[in-house]
Amino acid sequence: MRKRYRDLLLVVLMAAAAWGLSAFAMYNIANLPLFTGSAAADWEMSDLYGAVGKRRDVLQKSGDITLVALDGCDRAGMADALELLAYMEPRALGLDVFFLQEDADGRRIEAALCDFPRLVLPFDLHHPESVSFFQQRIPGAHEGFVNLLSSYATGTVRDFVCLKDGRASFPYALAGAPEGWGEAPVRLKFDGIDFPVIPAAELSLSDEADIRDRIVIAGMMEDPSDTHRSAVGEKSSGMLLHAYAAEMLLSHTRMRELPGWVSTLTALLLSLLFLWVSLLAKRKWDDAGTLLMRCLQLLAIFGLFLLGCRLYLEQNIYLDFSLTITMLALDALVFDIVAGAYALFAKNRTL
Amino acid sequence: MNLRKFLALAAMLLLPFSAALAADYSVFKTEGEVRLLHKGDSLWRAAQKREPLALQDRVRIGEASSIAIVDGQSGRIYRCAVAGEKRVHELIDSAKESAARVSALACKELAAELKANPSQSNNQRVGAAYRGENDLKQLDQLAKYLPKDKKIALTVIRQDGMVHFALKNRTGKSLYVNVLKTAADGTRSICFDFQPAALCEGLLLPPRKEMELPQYEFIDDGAAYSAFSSNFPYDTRALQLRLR
Repeated sequence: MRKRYRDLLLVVLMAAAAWGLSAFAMYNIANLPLFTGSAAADWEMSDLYGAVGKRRDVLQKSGDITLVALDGCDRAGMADALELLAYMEPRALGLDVFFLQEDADGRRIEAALCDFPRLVLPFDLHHPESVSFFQQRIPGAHEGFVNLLSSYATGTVRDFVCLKDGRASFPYALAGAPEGWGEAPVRLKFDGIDFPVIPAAELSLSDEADIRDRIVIAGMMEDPSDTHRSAVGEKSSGMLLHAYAAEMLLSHTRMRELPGWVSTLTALLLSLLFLWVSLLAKRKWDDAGTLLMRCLQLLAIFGLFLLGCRLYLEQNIYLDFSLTITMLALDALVFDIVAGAYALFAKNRTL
Repeated sequence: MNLRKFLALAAMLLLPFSAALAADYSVFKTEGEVRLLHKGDSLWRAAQKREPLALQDRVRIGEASSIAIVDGQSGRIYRCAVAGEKRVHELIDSAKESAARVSALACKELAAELKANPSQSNNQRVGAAYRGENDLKQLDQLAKYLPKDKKIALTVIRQDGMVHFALKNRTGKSLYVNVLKTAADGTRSICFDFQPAALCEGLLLPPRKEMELPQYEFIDDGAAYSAFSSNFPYDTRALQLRLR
């Protein structure tokens, strides 16, 4: 009986040590010289799931959204493109470009914008005064803030918000302000969808079906001032991030996530279980038991990763197994240290 | 076999064909060198966006190239980035198979992660571009405050009659950096004015990072140098013009 309590205490202590080490691994290893300057600190399990999804060769073409790339156009070129776009009768236009200074070509752009049945113009929450010169002059135009939600120092974009202080975000306004989305951040889903992209110069040659009755977002795809580090790429254009968010809103896709404490509890329980079984295997089969547990450990880590991927990609459920996987990896290290200490200092006693 | 069984069997046999007939394939996008040989043709031609495809058409994909084929009926997109020659139906089948193998994709991604070298990137958080070509208010401000910039530490390295620079970002956010040269007669110019409109990315310095630029050497004519920064990208040539 006493031995059983001692074992339980030992396992709990080892799990606690693994937990402590995992905190060190997750928050401090990124600061080692090897990782300095990399984005290692700014990482979430969903990035990996999303990246796996991005590798899939079967995607769904967006049923609602088309992107028009205005890169390389001056104002006159943009005015031409917008006039043509209005003629092609999209359902709505989201213009992801600011025109601060008024000039003749700017007024042509303004006139073209008046012809869209629904128009969303951008504004910056932090600089609401820096809007396009025609922002207040177009009747019926909607506004949406284009500020992106980014986390950590490297500014990785993983989420978006629909509302902030009662004001709609650009994708939310573009999607027609659907109900049921509040101010809470929503995790962006990047995989499984692709958008038709039409360069402005090719608009006249494009398939009308890609424009008519669809939502068009016009903006810069390649402009460095509007490229951002996102969960699936170093350089994702802001316009594309808005498109993913709008697509989620239009298709009512929402990632379901378990609360953080559930992830922590799962990690702790699995860690305790792993250490307990490791202890029993070591006693029963000695080194062969340790080898068996190493194999099981690797299988468990890969299995959790696969399970997370599948749930993320196929069921829109995000399970953050990062702590569980780190703890499972570190359990073995702690177990080895304890077993080694027993072998060294308690020669007449077995683990 | 009664009639009902016969019809059921016929429906099962015809199902794949009806699916193929209902499909309406065309080129969604291409990257690199992708050529097509339509059934009955003898000439390979470069694939064009929206070009209709039949299942028996042949696709030849070059190195580092890819094609995406869209089924107009279902909206499904099938991608292939493997160099070689395939028929359209083979390409679609292989895309379907590959998409179903999540384990293999996960292994590939893990291997790619090990090789990856992520770098700091633009952390601006406003998801829209500015196109106010004539509105240079920001540049006016920048030009006005150039010599007072304390956010960047500059080390001027003089060697054999040449000079190059080391710059350090003292702040916690990425900055677009540059060096201001003040000649003996008081004329000012910027050293790195090689960037085309709004493409300042080469001068983006991550938080608390230092970079030495020995590849950019200037003749040492005794001028004074100071570093300056901005948190937005700008047309370096426009700034140069303003300084003149």
